[in-house]
Amino acid sequence: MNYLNKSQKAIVGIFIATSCGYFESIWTNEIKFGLEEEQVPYQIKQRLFPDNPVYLAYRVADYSIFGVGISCLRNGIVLHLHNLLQEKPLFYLSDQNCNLKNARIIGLNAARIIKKKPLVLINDNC
Amino acid sequence: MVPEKNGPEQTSYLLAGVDIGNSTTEVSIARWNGSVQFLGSGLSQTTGIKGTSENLAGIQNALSIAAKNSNCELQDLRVICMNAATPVLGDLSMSTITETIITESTMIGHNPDTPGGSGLGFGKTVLPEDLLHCSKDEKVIPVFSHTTSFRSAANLINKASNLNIDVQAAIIQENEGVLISNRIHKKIPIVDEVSQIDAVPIQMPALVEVAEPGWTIKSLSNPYQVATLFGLSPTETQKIAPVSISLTGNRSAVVIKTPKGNVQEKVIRVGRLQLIGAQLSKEVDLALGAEQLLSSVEKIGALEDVIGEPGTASGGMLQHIKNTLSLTSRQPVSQIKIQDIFATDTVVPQKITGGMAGEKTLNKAIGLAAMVWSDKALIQDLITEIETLFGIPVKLGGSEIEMGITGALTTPGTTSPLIAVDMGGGSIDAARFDGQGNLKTVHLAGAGDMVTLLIDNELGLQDRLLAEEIKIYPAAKVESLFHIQMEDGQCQFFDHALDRSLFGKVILLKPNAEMIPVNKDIKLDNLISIRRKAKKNVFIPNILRALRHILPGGNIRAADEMILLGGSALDFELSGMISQFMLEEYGIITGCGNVRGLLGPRNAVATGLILSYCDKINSNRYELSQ
Repeated sequence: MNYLNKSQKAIVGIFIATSCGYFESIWTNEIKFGLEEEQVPYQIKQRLFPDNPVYLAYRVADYSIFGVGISCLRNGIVLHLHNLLQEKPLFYLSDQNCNLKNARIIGLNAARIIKKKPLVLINDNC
Repeated sequence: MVPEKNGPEQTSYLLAGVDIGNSTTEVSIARWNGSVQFLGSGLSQTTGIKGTSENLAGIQNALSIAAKNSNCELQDLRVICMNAATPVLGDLSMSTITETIITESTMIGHNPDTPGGSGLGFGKTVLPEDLLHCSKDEKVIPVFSHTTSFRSAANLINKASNLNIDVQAAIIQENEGVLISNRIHKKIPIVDEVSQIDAVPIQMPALVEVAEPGWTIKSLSNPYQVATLFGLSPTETQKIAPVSISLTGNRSAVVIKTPKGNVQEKVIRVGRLQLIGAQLSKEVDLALGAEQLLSSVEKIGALEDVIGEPGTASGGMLQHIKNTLSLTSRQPVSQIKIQDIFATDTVVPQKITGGMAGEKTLNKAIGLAAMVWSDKALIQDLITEIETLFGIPVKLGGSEIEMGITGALTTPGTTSPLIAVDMGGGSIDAARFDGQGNLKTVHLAGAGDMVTLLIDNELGLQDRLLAEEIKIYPAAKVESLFHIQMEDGQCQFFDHALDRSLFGKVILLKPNAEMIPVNKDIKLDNLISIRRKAKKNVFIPNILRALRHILPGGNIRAADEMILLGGSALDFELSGMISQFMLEEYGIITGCGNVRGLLGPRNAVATGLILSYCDKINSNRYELSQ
């Protein structure tokens, strides 16, 4: 199943893949606010994605010129880098750890990866 | 104990040399059978205060390690050689001599990562609930706490603007300056991350400035511009000038004018020291700086004591030092006489009293290191305990540095006359041996521990252990999860991802490939600069002081070569710094010792103790049957 256009050019920014849903849209907004505050560009793709946030984030990282991808699904939020091992994302929030504050920090940390600033550590599932 | 027999006429026996330092205890073991054959050495952390019974555990450990490395047993030792001189004890203290105090909670300077907007705003601080009640064309600066979301704040600002209220800037508590800036019609400077927002005075004139990305503020860092905007008198301008200037380099800042004149730089009375010598006494005002003190100490010559002015910073510092030394040497405070004192000027970042966002400013400070001789009875207690524990007699050799020179001369390529400088943690010991039996020695306060103190204070760490690690390990920056960039610009790559807690941070590189993150907001260049400056400002003037003591006529240029010993000589950059300086300034060849051609700058004293003892046996000054 192809979730994304194979011929899509990598964006100068961070790629966020999110599914349709109430919580996902709220969390995605917070992720966006974190990125916006750090003034790092991003692109969002919203459609129905299967339940594997780790795999999805890893895949969409390839669509970011910086190799940074975020997935925001009902069952978790993941921040991944294309140069990490697929099964070892940088941050993984399971649905129990997903909240507005942590979602904002995911956005913040994605920006900090690009800006090479120390990350804000949170209690996640990594 | 019967010595080993080896042939009809020769006997051979094992002996150990033990050198107890402030930080480490070093041991060498050798076999004597007419000539000395070194077998091995050992090193352990010194336990307790140097020269006291507390050292026993460290000595035992070092002896065990040395015995293992020498393939022998401790009980086979015939004699343990130790230093005869009483140990030198030192302590440190630091005091700021200026302090910046803000009256009435005026925020001085602030530098959040992502302020919003740009420009300069001047207006009256107001609460959000009062914003829409302000007059038309009134210049205002709303102050938003975390209870107001960035959307609400932006909406409110837009509504106010629509009512022709002149919103000039904004001050907010949360990290949302950019979020608000992106949602308002008018571009204004917005300073965020103000932690103590409740302390921001309301209904007061304020200035807010945010520079464009990559630039720094120009108005608030210029006291005359602040004076122009606030309408300050010359006296008021003078008061605010130091703090205004301290905002230089910031990307954003806020200054709020309060009735009592805002900000003052308070000079703390640092006080005078009375230097008492054998024939001369002199009073020195520490506020004049470290150089004044050092030159006065040199003029006095041998110090008998130093007394600080009561009720001042210097008085407090000296009393603290004397109290500590009284405890460690187990002598009454009245008997503590300071025999040497060393000072260095420094600047330390200090949290501004009255600041509302954790602002810091650099304040002048002075660091002092002082030294006393401890009671001879303490070392005798230690000797008795060693003899009881091991059943091995202890023989006292010469002074530490005297033995150090003897050991240093085992460095290939050395000859006398020779100067040896033993750089430890608490003191610098120097000796000059002219090759004709004449030895001149000196012990001075101010060494590795003082460097650590300076690093701790100048970086604002409040973590002595971290400061020690910054001192001894090279630094690097984690540039990505797969590579770091080291001080010299070289990169190191990894085939596995580094821990995310290291990303973007300055780290210290330990020899075993362990990386220690520096969890403070310190740039790599700044850390390196402060580290090098601390080492240079302690060791170089103190080595020069030592040379002036031990060289004929105090003429440093009369020295030919100098050898560096001790733990601090192992520092990865210090020896090079000293060598370069001594060669460039005085033409003196300086190098790190290499005791017995394999131990580097360590173990000189322990080696020297054994050589000296064996020399005495050979010249029949010691009986074999002892």
